[in-house]
Amino acid sequence: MIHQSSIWVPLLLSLKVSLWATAINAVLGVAAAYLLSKWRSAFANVVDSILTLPLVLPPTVMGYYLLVLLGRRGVFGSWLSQMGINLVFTWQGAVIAASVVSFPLVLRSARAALEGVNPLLENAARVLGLSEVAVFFRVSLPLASRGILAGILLAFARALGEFGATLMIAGNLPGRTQTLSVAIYEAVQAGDDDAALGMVLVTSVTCVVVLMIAGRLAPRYARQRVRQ
Amino acid sequence: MSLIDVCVRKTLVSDSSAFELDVTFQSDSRRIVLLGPSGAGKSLTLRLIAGLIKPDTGRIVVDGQVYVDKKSKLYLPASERETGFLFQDYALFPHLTVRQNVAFGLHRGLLNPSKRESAAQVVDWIQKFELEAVALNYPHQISGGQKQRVALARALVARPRILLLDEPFAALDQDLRARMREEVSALQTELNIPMITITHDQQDAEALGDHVIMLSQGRVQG
Repeated sequence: MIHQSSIWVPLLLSLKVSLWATAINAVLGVAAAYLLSKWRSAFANVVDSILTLPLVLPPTVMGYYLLVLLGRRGVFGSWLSQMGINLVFTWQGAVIAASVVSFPLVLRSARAALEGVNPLLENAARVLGLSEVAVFFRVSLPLASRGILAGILLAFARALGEFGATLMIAGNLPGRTQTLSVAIYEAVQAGDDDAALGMVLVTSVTCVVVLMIAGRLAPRYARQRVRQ
Repeated sequence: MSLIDVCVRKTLVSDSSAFELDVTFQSDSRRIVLLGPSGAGKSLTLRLIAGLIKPDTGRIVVDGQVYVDKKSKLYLPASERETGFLFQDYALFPHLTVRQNVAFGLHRGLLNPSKRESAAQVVDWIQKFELEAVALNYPHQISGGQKQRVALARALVARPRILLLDEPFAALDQDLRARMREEVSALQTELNIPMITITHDQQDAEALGDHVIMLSQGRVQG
């Protein structure tokens, strides 16, 4: 049974998992977006579509794929378990589930934001002697930062609400892998309506706040562009 | 060997048409103007010199430094050419202050210059162009003439080998145009830096060109 006081355990676990997933996506999602924005080929859109799949596929399907890949007898999983690493039924497994499912949100926002940076400014930086890496960190990234940040916040909210893939790969172990959304499901199943209501409210308020911040960020970034 | 030696070919293909640039000129003048109507290939030529576009074939030498030589497969990237480029709309970095914009090329690392940047060259150029009052402002907060001066200071601060001006006064009104024309002309005389200006304006050509090269439909005329 879940009691009021035990909201904190799944809440903190959810926050930990979401923050890790968001940090991973902030690096991988932005890097993938940068590479796709520079890659002038029709193939880039094919890769983009594949990387966006987690947004539209049912989370249970993503969870299934992750089990096939990372399970003890999975492609990577068997290799990982030889090194003593097991991701199934761990909070790290939940991080991977949340990362994969929220990855497209960072990728999409970051790609749009990076492609919106005036190429003239990047050229100006090149002529002034900057390497491509320096152009990215000193011009492209700061000018795209609002769009990227909006995507990162959306991804955080999505990771916080992740249920299906998490349940499949990390399971439902109270105190270890039971995130807020999984705990809500269990509370409802167990008829503990008070606990469910408390956790539902906490989740809802957090997501509304995150979405409001993301919404405020997105339009202002557009103003930073200069005309061609 | 000439101060400036350009001989390049570049074909640009879009869905509906193809543009062929085939430009050859040598000059020992430090005040060159490429004059021609829009669509003549002036801007493309300047971008080829700066290294923002790769030529299909040819050779570019500026002040003894080979930028491009297809025969010896030499291609210097834009970041190693040490050109000062003045873009038509200045292309000032909107997220950086005037001072940071001016100091931009002095730092080649991964971090932008700080808001309190105080390198001697930066201070000198800001003083020279009377930008002290707006040094902490952002580009959208300053006037057109000031933007042009910031862009010039940013291009010159790292002591470029050559200054490339892309329609430098097109965005300015008549009065300011005349004043900036004089300012740029005096600056070139003072620094004695090689300068290539592209323009469609006869008056610009007279003021800034000792050697005026006419360009039309991707070719040098006459």
